Amino acid sequence: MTQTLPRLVRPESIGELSELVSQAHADGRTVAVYGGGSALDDHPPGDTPSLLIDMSGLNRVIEHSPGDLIMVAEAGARIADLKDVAETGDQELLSDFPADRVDSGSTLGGAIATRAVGPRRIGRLPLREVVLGITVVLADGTIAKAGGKVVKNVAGYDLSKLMTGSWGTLGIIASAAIRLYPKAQAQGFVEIPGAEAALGVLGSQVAPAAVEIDRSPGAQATTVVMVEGLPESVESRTRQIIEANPGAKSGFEPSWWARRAQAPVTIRASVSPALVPELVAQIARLEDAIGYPIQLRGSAMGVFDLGVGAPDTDPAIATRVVLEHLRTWDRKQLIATVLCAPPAVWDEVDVWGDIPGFGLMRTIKDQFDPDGLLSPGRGTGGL
Amino acid sequence: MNRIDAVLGRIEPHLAAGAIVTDETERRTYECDGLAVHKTVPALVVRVTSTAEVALTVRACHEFDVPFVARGSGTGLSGGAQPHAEGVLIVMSTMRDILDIDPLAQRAIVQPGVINLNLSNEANPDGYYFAPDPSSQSVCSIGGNVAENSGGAHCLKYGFTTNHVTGLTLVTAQGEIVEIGGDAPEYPGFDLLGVLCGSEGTLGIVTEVTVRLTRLPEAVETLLIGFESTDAAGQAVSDIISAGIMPAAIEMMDALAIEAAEKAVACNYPQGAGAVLVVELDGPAIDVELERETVIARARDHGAGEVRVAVDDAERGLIWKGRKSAFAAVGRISPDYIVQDGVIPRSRLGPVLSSISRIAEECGVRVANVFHAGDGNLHPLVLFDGSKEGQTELAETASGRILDLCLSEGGSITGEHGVGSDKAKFMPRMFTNEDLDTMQILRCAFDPDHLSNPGKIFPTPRLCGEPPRRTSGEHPLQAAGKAELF
Repeated sequence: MTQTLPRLVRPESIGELSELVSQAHADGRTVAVYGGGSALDDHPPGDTPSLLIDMSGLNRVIEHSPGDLIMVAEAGARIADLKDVAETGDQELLSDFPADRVDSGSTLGGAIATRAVGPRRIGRLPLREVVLGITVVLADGTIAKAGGKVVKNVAGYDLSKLMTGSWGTLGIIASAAIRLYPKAQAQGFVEIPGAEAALGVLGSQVAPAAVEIDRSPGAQATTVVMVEGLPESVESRTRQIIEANPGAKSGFEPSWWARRAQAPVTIRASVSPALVPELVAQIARLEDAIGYPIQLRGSAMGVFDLGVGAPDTDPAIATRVVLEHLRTWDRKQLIATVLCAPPAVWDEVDVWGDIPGFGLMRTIKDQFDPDGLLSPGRGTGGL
Repeated sequence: MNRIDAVLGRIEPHLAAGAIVTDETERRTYECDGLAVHKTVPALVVRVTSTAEVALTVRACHEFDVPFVARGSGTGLSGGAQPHAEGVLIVMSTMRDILDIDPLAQRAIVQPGVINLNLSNEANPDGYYFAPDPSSQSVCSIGGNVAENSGGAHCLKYGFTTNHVTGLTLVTAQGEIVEIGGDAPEYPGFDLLGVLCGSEGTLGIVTEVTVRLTRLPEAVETLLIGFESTDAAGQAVSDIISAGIMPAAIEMMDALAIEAAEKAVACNYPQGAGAVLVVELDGPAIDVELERETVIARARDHGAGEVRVAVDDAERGLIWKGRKSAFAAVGRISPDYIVQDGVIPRSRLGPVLSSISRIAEECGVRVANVFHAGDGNLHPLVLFDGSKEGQTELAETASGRILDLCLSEGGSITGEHGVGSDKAKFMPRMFTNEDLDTMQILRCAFDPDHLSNPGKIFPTPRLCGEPPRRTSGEHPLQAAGKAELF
């Protein structure tokens, strides 16, 4: 006899999670995961799942070892809470993670599954690099782990990286081990007009922690450099940056720092660092040419979010035009996909384009989830 | 016609004279990598010069069901490039061109046979280098670094090879050419780069690599600090890290390793020290200066004796000479040795080192310790004399017990040398059958026929299509014969 599953479930242990998924698998039911709900507008909404798993019951810190700079926690734990735990050891969790996601209740599992990016990937490594180990529940309910909880480990395939950014389509993240960083004693910000100075700062000896570029529609771009470390060093390096860049002035953390701009559609454009100034200039020209406002914000390391369209315009047309323009670039130099959009855009626009290695991704999906039960329609390229 | 001849017939017309090695004596020169205890003569050796030649060879192997193994410089320490007796060894060291260095993009594009250090040397004039620096960097290849996800002394701060790869050209196990990633930092979809790095040649062959270049730091200082014991040195390491300092490297050597290095290269390490730390600080000059004072103060807290600060390349070279020659040096004080690569949580250094000396005593062998203390990556060198009866077994026992110890502390059986053929038997001690089967799911996506470097990493891999070892209910679609589990 097959047991009927409730539509919304809230497991309180990894064992329970495994049983629920195993049962759903046996019944051929689709499954989706709810963490903090902070990325629900990102990626297509997908098919309505037969079973929705609320991860909030899996929110324990399994281990926090400040001496080893690691934390192991269950996937439903909120990033904000885990950051507080890390703080007790004067350490920082997921430095390169968007502040708006933290504020709106993002969970550890959600952060990893969506591979969110923030500004501080220069000094602290992006999220994918700090997931040391992972425990996942596979489509058939199997509990499997990979990696470990030590910072250095090459035993077996790095499935932590495979699960990072998989949008719940290969397995359900149940817990993870994260590398922590010592909290910097001081931070300093320098504001430089335009985007042209960004590459110079990246290539300089001031070891910036972040170099962000922000450009509002119709306005000039601004580069904001963040340095962190010991107070004397921050002061000295801040001064060096100001001296080297005409018009630069000392500033504070801008209100937009590590936050996505509000716009009907967000396009994620990842670009070779060498072409960052060119991208900023082209976006300005494109805005003039097509008459749709485009907000640009992101790291000079080459990850930008483009906020496209105004509330009273058709976002689909604007999105299509911007994507078509960006896709004239060599995809080894620039790749653009839609990150966040209203339903019409997902349906009407080629939101993914040509993704390198997509055939292999399709095969991996088919191997891990042959029946297509996990988060159907939520993954990149419809995986 | 046997299968090797069939492969030969397919590829010979398309390759240059000398690219194919059939002579047994010459094939024998490829019988092992840096782990010389495992020797297998490959059935055929092909020295390739292009992606197209790799694809051609792999396609032929796939067609005739012949296993193949890619080999870079052959410096691996886990037998990852150990050939297959009935297979083709594809030698990548003949693909050694640096195709592009772009300082503005902080990227370089290289062929896999390019020597690690050569890339840094070429990028240095522009103010950049390639950060992963395994001790073998003057001879090891970047393709090998990708396969093993190599680290090195400086990965504490700068990460491993996987953190420095943004693009790859892959020849799949079926011989298809797939381009993955590029110059941009984030590509959408599954992290194929992340799974390929460290896959030890079992998911296909990488024929071109786009790497991130790192800015040369403004200042570098190297400190050599003598301690009474490894325990004191270990505590100093913990305190330095707790002080919020992220040194570029923190290396430790114990008394036996110091003795060996001293005899071999006269590196002039502090006399009578029970342990030395090599601490390297880099970054903006002002940071290095401030951090140096903190490091020295923390070391003094734990009874540091002599503190030597190298400020130029010559002095720094001398300090590193002792450390980097340590493995070879141990070879001079012992006829044979086994090098292990276990990892432990750094905070457990002291107790683990004590346990290692107890294991050594109980097994009647000597163990020298040379390791990356900052990230808890131990390299215990188990010394023995293979010509004496029973010594090899004792050394292997001691070596296995050390890995068990690392695992019992929540660590890993390998931090940077890879699993290869050497440590495959230890994988079930670290992972459950379910864990290993899950890795096989990935393997089956890339190489369903298990032709790409078979017999490595996994002790007894499940065949693709074979039901998993776990027990679970049969899926209705499976029962109906409409789908397979894998």
